[in-house]
Amino acid sequence: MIELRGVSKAFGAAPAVVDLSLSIGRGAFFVLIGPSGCGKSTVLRMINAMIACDRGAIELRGEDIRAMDPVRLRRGIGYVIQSVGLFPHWTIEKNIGAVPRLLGWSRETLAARVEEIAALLQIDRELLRRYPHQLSGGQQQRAGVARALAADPDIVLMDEPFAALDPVSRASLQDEMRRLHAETGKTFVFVTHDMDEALRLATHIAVMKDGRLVQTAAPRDLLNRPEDEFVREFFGREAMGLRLLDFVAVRDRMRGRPRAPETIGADASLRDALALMIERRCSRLSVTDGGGGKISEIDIADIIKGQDAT
Amino acid sequence: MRPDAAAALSAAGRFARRPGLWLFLLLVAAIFLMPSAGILFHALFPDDRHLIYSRATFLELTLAHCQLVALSSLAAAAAGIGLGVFATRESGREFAPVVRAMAAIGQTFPPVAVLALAIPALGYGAPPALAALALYAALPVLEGSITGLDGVPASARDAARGIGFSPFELLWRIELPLAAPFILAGLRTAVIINIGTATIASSAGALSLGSPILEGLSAANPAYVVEGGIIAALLAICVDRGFDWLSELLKQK
Amino acid sequence: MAAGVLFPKPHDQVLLALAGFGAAGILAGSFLNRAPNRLANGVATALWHAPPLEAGAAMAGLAALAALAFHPKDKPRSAMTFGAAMLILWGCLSGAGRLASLFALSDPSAARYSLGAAFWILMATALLALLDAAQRANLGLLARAGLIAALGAGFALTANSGAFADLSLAKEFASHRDIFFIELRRHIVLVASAVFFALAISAPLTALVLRRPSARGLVFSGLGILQTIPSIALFGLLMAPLTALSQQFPLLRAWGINGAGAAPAIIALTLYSLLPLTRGFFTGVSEVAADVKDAAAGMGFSARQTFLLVELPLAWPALVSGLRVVTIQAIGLAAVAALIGAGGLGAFVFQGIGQYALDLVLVGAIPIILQALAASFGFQMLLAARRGS
Repeated sequence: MIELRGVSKAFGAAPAVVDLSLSIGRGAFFVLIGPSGCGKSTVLRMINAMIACDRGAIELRGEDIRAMDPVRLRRGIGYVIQSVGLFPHWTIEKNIGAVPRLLGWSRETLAARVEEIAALLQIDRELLRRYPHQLSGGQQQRAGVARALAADPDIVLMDEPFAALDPVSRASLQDEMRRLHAETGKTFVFVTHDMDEALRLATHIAVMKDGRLVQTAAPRDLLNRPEDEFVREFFGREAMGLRLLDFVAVRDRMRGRPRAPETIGADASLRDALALMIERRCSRLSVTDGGGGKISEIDIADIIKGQDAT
Repeated sequence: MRPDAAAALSAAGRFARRPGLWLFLLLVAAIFLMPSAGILFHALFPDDRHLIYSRATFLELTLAHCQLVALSSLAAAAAGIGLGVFATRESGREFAPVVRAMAAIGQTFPPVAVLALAIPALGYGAPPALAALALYAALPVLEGSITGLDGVPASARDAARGIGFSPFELLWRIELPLAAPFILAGLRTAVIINIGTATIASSAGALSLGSPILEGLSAANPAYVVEGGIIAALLAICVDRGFDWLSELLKQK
Repeated sequence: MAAGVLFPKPHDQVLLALAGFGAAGILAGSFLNRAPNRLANGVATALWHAPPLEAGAAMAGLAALAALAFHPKDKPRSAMTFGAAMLILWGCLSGAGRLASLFALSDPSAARYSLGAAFWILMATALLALLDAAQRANLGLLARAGLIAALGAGFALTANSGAFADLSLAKEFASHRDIFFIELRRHIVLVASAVFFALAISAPLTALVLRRPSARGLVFSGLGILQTIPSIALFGLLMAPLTALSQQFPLLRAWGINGAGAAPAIIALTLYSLLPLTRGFFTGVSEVAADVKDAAAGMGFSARQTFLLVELPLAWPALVSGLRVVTIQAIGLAAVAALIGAGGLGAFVFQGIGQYALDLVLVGAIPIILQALAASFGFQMLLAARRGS
């Protein structure tokens, strides 16, 4: 879907991106992560031609972006930024409909689409008539995401969209993104410096440092086989084991008959199970299925032992 | 019918409470009734001279004055906004400091002095007055445009570019509407100054509401001065009110 | 990128544009107008008819500006821009003076030589180049003041040597020399007294507005309406009641207060000054943060001490900017006051316009502009000095 080949970019004398190659498949939730100043935002902004690369080539849907009109190109790509950038003189409704209007959609189609996208992102109808400054930060970014998706682009670029939000709004928008990705099958390219966010959302993670790509992998593989010290360090060394428990379900480790009084659902993660054990001061939990019946049991030893095997 | 009539009445009532409206009516009355005020002026200035200015009707004077101000302000708005847009584009960024300094320094030039400089350069009559007024009035508009355009949030600009606004659409739909209050404020300053300077322009041979004032001054006929002065003052106040109304309209949108 | 190979990319587009502007001025306009007498229309003479040294210097300076646009380094470019601009200034001034002297040798003594569009465009070009260079070099206010003083001193020395004596502007100045200084003093007195009275009135007015928020709307909209009235109309409208008053009360007349002259001028200038001053004072004092005042009160400052030691110093910048606006405005409006017999430099302007003596207009207009610029610069220095301390 998106192909970067040997892309380099320097701002003045300072290199921002050095000889970077990436391949982002259709329907991926691709997260670019790295410390600030590593060039991840530059990569994102080169994909929609906001920044022209010095060397190398970028292909979108098999077509070199240099051959495309940048304005047309961008209308086909959703774009969300940290500072949201809603237009202060337009209502939320008009903001969401910005790109479809540029594309010349009819009034009825436009209204229907705004309605639909607002419902999808659970934006209150009442909010649609308001102006951006009358909304909370979380609501604003919801509108920002809605605006990016309004013209139904198959690619969505997001540049640290939730970094400025409070933890509650952030978590709820992250859930929203997971759902959206699962439902629409669009390709997301998402920049963040928050590894929990990355692990939560990504199908693929690319770790960047000093304008170079360090490692690209699925989140679980990244935790299991970090390429080098930098990646290990970045993903928080001590906490890495715990993070890994997120990616395994209780179902995969349960065995034996249920005897323990405390219970946990089969689809919960090992991390949840461990947390519950610590909280309840027990070493075993009974596992329940969707109906609530106890089906098996999980032991703390199985959680810990299993880790090396994965 | 009844509720309609009531609504119309209350609308009329709201209308009547606007001081701007009354001032405007006063201005119209002054323009048309001034010639009939001879008795009043005779009482004020016991003099047997001719006390009502009659070289041109007050309507002609007012229209000429408005034309001078409107044309020069229009030209100033075009030039000021154009230059402001240029200085805030990527290609014109380099000119921004000089343009800004020019606008600031230029506004310390007294408008009368600019008018005075235009006469040696361009001669007598309405055209040099027009040019001087336009030149001077362009400066506040320019300053307002640059302030307004620079004040557009960078995030809105970045987002607009990112979701596919062309440079023109960005300017027309996002930047100019957001800068409009500042541009309007600059234009207001420009127009009010122009109304004042246009009265003085009559000393250089342009017909305006300054003509009776200046003739009254040179002929020691205070009635002419008062006639011209009242209409000129009312005109300025009305236009200022009009800008008040415009900027409120802009805020509501 | 291909264009870059054919034509090198300028590093300072402003200089290039200025050079183009100056060149267009030379080609399009006349440098000096030569007229047989004070009232006749002149014949245009181009820059290249000026003595070769001066004409060459001006053109070389212009060419240097264009070439400097391609200089890659900011600092040396700024320094050399100063040089090039000085070359243009000197070439224009001295060129015009010497060309006039050359003409005067053969012409009858009634002949007049006035400065043309090309002269003014070149001067503007050089001054704008200086301004651009000063901004790029990030010159401080003190350095700018030094530069201006040097320019002024250079000009005064050249003028004193009689280099410009044959220009009609200098002739007009010379023939009005005695009145000039009287009118200049009158102008300054008009401005100073208006600013003084405005200060005296706006201080209690500000206090009123600060204490009584209900009076705010009325005071500011009232002053706002005053501000919009055209100056000459206000002057004129003040004349009638003042005349009546002075006829009623001989004492007023004895003090020199009557319908025409300085009285209505100073009253009108004071009225115009009230809004900017009061607004400046008001925003200055009311924008002193509440917690600062709270802290002062908490430390045991009396209301008087809070005002003198906290509010006033913090409001200082707003006060000074208000004063700056008012002074510049009064300098301009005082020129109009000449029309009601108050004198001042405006007298030359309107006398010149009336007599079709355009150089006489300049004798009034140029000092008015210089005064306004000087006032603006002086207040800026005052603000900067305060900030620096």
